Amino acid sequence: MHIFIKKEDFEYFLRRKKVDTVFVYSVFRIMNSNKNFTLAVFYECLVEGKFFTFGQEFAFDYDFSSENLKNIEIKSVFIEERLLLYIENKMTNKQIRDYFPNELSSKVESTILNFIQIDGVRVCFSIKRKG
Amino acid sequence: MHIFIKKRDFEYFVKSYEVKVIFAKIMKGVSVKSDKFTLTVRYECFVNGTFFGFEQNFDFKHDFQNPEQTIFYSCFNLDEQLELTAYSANPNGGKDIKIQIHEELTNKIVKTILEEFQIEGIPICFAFAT
Repeated sequence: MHIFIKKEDFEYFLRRKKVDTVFVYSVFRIMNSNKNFTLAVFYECLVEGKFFTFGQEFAFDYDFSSENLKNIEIKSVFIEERLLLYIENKMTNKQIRDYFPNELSSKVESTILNFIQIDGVRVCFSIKRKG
Repeated sequence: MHIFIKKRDFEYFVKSYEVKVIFAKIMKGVSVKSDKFTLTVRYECFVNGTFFGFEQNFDFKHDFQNPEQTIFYSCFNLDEQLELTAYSANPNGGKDIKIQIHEELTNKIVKTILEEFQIEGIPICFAFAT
Protein backbone atom coordinates (compact mmCIF):
# COMPACT_ATOMS: atom_id res chain seq x y z
CA MET A 1 0.00 0.00 0.00
CA HIS A 2 1.45 3.38 -1.03
CA ILE A 3 0.07 6.70 0.19
CA PHE A 4 1.24 9.82 -1.64
CA ILE A 5 1.66 13.05 0.29
CA LYS A 6 3.44 16.40 -0.19
CA LYS A 7 7.10 16.83 0.74
CA GLU A 8 6.34 19.16 3.67
CA ASP A 9 3.78 16.69 5.00
CA PHE A 10 6.26 13.82 4.52
CA GLU A 11 8.87 15.65 6.64
CA TYR A 12 6.28 16.45 9.31
CA PHE A 13 5.22 12.80 9.24
CA LEU A 14 8.82 11.56 9.67
CA ARG A 15 9.24 13.64 12.82
CA ARG A 16 5.84 12.81 14.32
CA LYS A 17 6.14 9.06 13.69
CA LYS A 18 9.87 8.96 14.56
CA VAL A 19 10.79 7.17 11.31
CA ASP A 20 14.45 5.97 11.15
CA THR A 21 14.89 5.20 7.46
CA VAL A 22 13.78 6.77 4.19
CA PHE A 23 14.11 4.79 0.95
CA VAL A 24 14.77 6.58 -2.30
CA TYR A 25 14.31 5.05 -5.72
CA SER A 26 13.94 6.32 -9.25
CA VAL A 27 11.09 5.07 -11.39
CA PHE A 28 10.75 6.89 -14.68
CA ARG A 29 13.85 7.68 -16.67
CA ILE A 30 12.94 10.01 -19.50
CA MET A 31 15.45 10.85 -22.20
CA ASN A 32 14.39 14.45 -23.00
CA SER A 33 16.77 14.85 -25.91
CA ASN A 34 20.17 13.61 -27.01
CA LYS A 35 21.75 15.71 -24.29
CA ASN A 36 19.90 15.10 -21.03
CA PHE A 37 17.51 12.90 -19.09
CA THR A 38 15.07 13.23 -16.19
CA LEU A 39 14.74 10.87 -13.27
CA ALA A 40 11.43 10.73 -11.41
CA VAL A 41 12.32 9.88 -7.84
CA PHE A 42 10.12 8.62 -5.01
CA TYR A 43 10.98 9.11 -1.35
CA GLU A 44 9.30 6.54 0.89
CA CYS A 45 9.11 5.55 4.52
CA LEU A 46 7.57 2.43 5.95
CA VAL A 47 5.14 2.90 8.83
CA GLU A 48 2.92 0.14 10.20
CA GLY A 49 3.06 -1.81 6.92
CA LYS A 50 2.26 1.16 4.69
CA PHE A 51 4.59 3.16 2.48
CA PHE A 52 4.19 6.93 2.66
CA THR A 53 5.62 8.63 -0.41
CA PHE A 54 6.30 11.85 -2.26
CA GLY A 55 7.77 12.32 -5.74
CA GLN A 56 10.33 14.69 -7.24
CA GLU A 57 11.98 15.04 -10.67
CA PHE A 58 15.67 15.67 -11.30
CA ALA A 59 17.37 16.46 -14.65
CA PHE A 60 20.93 15.45 -15.58
CA ASP A 61 23.14 15.92 -18.64
CA TYR A 62 24.33 12.96 -20.69
CA ASP A 63 25.19 12.56 -24.36
CA PHE A 64 22.82 10.01 -25.97
CA SER A 65 23.59 11.06 -29.52
CA SER A 66 24.87 7.60 -30.49
CA GLU A 67 21.78 5.76 -29.16
CA ASN A 68 18.33 5.02 -30.55
CA LEU A 69 16.27 6.73 -27.82
CA LYS A 70 13.15 4.66 -28.53
CA ASN A 71 14.55 1.34 -27.40
CA ILE A 72 16.69 2.18 -24.40
CA GLU A 73 16.16 2.84 -20.72
CA ILE A 74 18.42 3.82 -17.85
CA LYS A 75 18.95 1.20 -15.14
CA SER A 76 20.85 1.24 -11.88
CA VAL A 77 22.79 -1.32 -9.89
CA PHE A 78 24.95 -1.42 -6.76
CA ILE A 79 28.46 -2.78 -7.18
CA GLU A 80 30.74 -2.76 -4.13
CA GLU A 81 28.55 -0.20 -2.35
CA ARG A 82 28.54 2.22 -5.29
CA LEU A 83 25.56 3.19 -7.42
CA LEU A 84 26.23 2.69 -11.12
CA LEU A 85 23.95 3.67 -14.01
CA TYR A 86 23.84 2.00 -17.40
CA ILE A 87 21.70 1.85 -20.52
CA GLU A 88 19.66 -1.23 -21.29
CA ASN A 89 17.93 -2.26 -24.50
CA LYS A 90 14.20 -2.55 -23.66
CA MET A 91 13.62 -5.30 -26.20
CA THR A 92 16.48 -7.61 -25.21
CA ASN A 93 17.01 -6.52 -21.56
CA LYS A 94 20.73 -6.43 -22.28
CA GLN A 95 23.17 -3.79 -21.13
CA ILE A 96 24.44 -1.48 -23.85
CA ARG A 97 28.00 -0.22 -23.58
CA ASP A 98 29.80 0.47 -20.33
CA TYR A 99 28.48 2.05 -17.15
CA PHE A 100 27.96 5.82 -17.07
CA PRO A 101 31.03 7.74 -15.88
CA ASN A 102 31.53 7.48 -12.11
CA GLU A 103 31.20 11.24 -11.72
CA LEU A 104 27.69 11.20 -13.20
CA SER A 105 26.53 8.24 -11.09
CA SER A 106 27.92 9.91 -7.97
CA LYS A 107 26.25 13.19 -8.89
CA VAL A 108 22.89 11.46 -9.37
CA GLU A 109 23.22 9.71 -6.02
CA SER A 110 24.33 12.75 -4.03
CA THR A 111 21.76 15.09 -5.65
CA ILE A 112 18.92 12.72 -4.79
CA LEU A 113 20.16 11.89 -1.28
CA ASN A 114 20.85 15.52 -0.38
CA PHE A 115 17.39 16.67 -1.46
CA ILE A 116 15.89 15.58 1.84
CA GLN A 117 17.70 16.26 5.10
CA ILE A 118 16.14 15.44 8.42
CA ASP A 119 18.22 15.07 11.56
CA GLY A 120 18.87 11.46 12.50
CA VAL A 121 16.97 9.90 9.58
CA ARG A 122 18.92 7.59 7.29
CA VAL A 123 18.23 8.21 3.60
CA CYS A 124 19.05 5.05 1.58
CA PHE A 125 19.34 4.96 -2.17
CA SER A 126 17.39 1.86 -3.21
CA ILE A 127 16.53 -0.23 -6.25
CA LYS A 128 13.16 -1.97 -6.58
CA ARG A 129 12.56 -5.27 -8.30
CA LYS A 130 9.61 -7.62 -8.51
CA GLY A 131 9.91 -11.25 -7.50
CA MET B 1 8.46 -6.75 -3.87
CA HIS B 2 12.21 -6.60 -3.20
CA ILE B 3 14.01 -3.40 -2.25
CA PHE B 4 17.79 -3.45 -2.59
CA ILE B 5 19.97 -1.07 -0.63
CA LYS B 6 23.66 -0.87 0.18
CA LYS B 7 25.17 -3.17 2.79
CA ARG B 8 25.84 -0.39 5.28
CA ASP B 9 22.24 0.88 4.94
CA PHE B 10 20.94 -2.68 5.32
CA GLU B 11 22.83 -3.04 8.63
CA TYR B 12 21.29 0.20 9.89
CA PHE B 13 17.84 -0.87 8.70
CA VAL B 14 18.09 -4.29 10.38
CA LYS B 15 18.88 -2.64 13.71
CA SER B 16 16.31 0.17 13.52
CA TYR B 17 13.45 -2.17 12.52
CA GLU B 18 14.45 -4.85 15.04
CA VAL B 19 14.70 -7.57 12.40
CA LYS B 20 14.80 -11.08 13.88
CA VAL B 21 16.03 -13.22 10.95
CA ILE B 22 18.16 -12.66 7.84
CA PHE B 23 18.04 -15.00 4.85
CA ALA B 24 21.14 -15.69 2.74
CA LYS B 25 20.36 -17.04 -0.74
CA ILE B 26 22.64 -18.08 -3.57
CA MET B 27 21.01 -16.36 -6.54
CA LYS B 28 23.32 -17.35 -9.36
CA GLY B 29 26.74 -18.73 -10.12
CA VAL B 30 28.95 -17.73 -13.00
CA SER B 31 32.24 -19.40 -13.87
CA VAL B 32 34.42 -16.51 -14.90
CA LYS B 33 37.53 -18.49 -15.81
CA SER B 34 38.27 -22.20 -16.06
CA ASP B 35 39.61 -22.25 -12.49
CA LYS B 36 37.29 -19.76 -10.80
CA PHE B 37 33.58 -19.03 -10.33
CA THR B 38 31.55 -16.24 -8.75
CA LEU B 39 28.44 -16.74 -6.64
CA THR B 40 25.99 -13.87 -6.22
CA VAL B 41 24.47 -14.01 -2.74
CA ARG B 42 21.43 -12.06 -1.63
CA TYR B 43 21.01 -11.21 2.08
CA GLU B 44 17.40 -10.31 2.84
CA CYS B 45 15.00 -9.66 5.66
CA PHE B 46 11.22 -9.55 5.51
CA VAL B 47 9.51 -6.51 7.03
CA ASN B 48 5.83 -5.68 6.69
CA GLY B 49 5.30 -7.69 3.53
CA THR B 50 8.41 -6.47 1.70
CA PHE B 51 11.87 -8.00 1.30
CA PHE B 52 14.78 -5.63 1.97
CA GLY B 53 18.29 -6.72 1.09
CA PHE B 54 21.63 -6.35 -0.57
CA GLU B 55 23.64 -8.54 -2.95
CA GLN B 56 27.29 -9.48 -2.80
CA ASN B 57 29.60 -11.51 -5.04
CA PHE B 58 32.00 -14.18 -3.74
CA ASP B 59 34.80 -15.79 -5.74
CA PHE B 60 35.83 -19.45 -5.31
CA LYS B 61 38.30 -21.69 -7.06
CA HIS B 62 37.24 -24.79 -9.01
CA ASP B 63 38.24 -26.42 -12.30
CA PHE B 64 35.64 -26.26 -15.08
CA GLN B 65 35.94 -27.76 -18.52
CA ASN B 66 33.33 -25.50 -20.10
CA PRO B 67 33.40 -22.41 -17.87
CA GLU B 68 31.32 -20.01 -19.93
CA GLN B 69 28.17 -22.11 -19.91
CA THR B 70 27.98 -23.44 -16.38
CA ILE B 71 24.87 -22.94 -14.23
CA PHE B 72 24.77 -23.52 -10.47
CA TYR B 73 21.94 -24.97 -8.40
CA SER B 74 21.70 -25.32 -4.64
CA CYS B 75 19.39 -27.42 -2.46
CA PHE B 76 19.26 -29.00 1.00
CA ASN B 77 19.62 -32.75 1.31
CA LEU B 78 17.75 -34.84 3.89
CA ASP B 79 20.59 -34.37 6.39
CA GLU B 80 20.00 -30.59 6.39
CA GLN B 81 23.22 -30.05 4.46
CA LEU B 82 23.51 -27.66 1.53
CA GLU B 83 24.32 -29.37 -1.77
CA LEU B 84 25.75 -27.36 -4.60
CA THR B 85 25.69 -28.71 -8.14
CA ALA B 86 26.78 -27.18 -11.42
CA TYR B 87 25.63 -28.07 -14.92
CA SER B 88 27.83 -27.29 -17.87
CA ALA B 89 26.61 -27.18 -21.47
CA ASN B 90 27.74 -30.23 -23.43
CA PRO B 91 30.09 -29.06 -26.23
CA ASN B 92 28.89 -32.01 -28.37
CA GLY B 93 25.24 -31.13 -27.85
CA GLY B 94 22.78 -33.28 -25.93
CA LYS B 95 22.37 -33.44 -22.16
CA ASP B 96 24.17 -30.93 -19.92
CA ILE B 97 27.12 -32.30 -17.96
CA LYS B 98 26.59 -32.51 -14.21
CA ILE B 99 29.48 -31.28 -12.05
CA GLN B 100 29.25 -32.25 -8.40
CA ILE B 101 30.83 -29.64 -6.15
CA HIS B 102 32.84 -31.41 -3.43
CA GLU B 103 31.53 -31.35 0.13
CA GLU B 104 34.67 -29.59 1.29
CA LEU B 105 34.11 -26.71 -1.14
CA THR B 106 30.39 -26.55 -0.33
CA ASN B 107 31.24 -26.27 3.38
CA LYS B 108 33.70 -23.49 2.62
CA ILE B 109 31.05 -21.62 0.60
CA VAL B 110 28.47 -21.91 3.39
CA LYS B 111 30.99 -20.78 6.02
CA THR B 112 32.14 -17.82 3.91
CA ILE B 113 28.60 -16.64 3.21
CA LEU B 114 27.42 -16.98 6.81
CA GLU B 115 30.52 -15.34 8.28
CA GLU B 116 30.48 -12.40 5.86
CA PHE B 117 27.51 -10.78 7.50
CA GLN B 118 27.31 -10.70 11.26
CA ILE B 119 24.90 -8.65 13.32
CA GLU B 120 24.86 -9.52 16.98
CA GLY B 121 21.94 -11.70 18.04
CA ILE B 122 20.33 -12.06 14.60
CA PRO B 123 20.42 -15.57 13.12
CA ILE B 124 21.25 -15.89 9.44
CA CYS B 125 19.42 -18.72 7.69
CA PHE B 126 20.92 -20.25 4.60
CA ALA B 127 18.13 -20.39 2.03
CA PHE B 128 17.90 -21.18 -1.63
CA ALA B 129 15.84 -19.43 -4.26
CA THR B 130 13.50 -21.25 -6.67
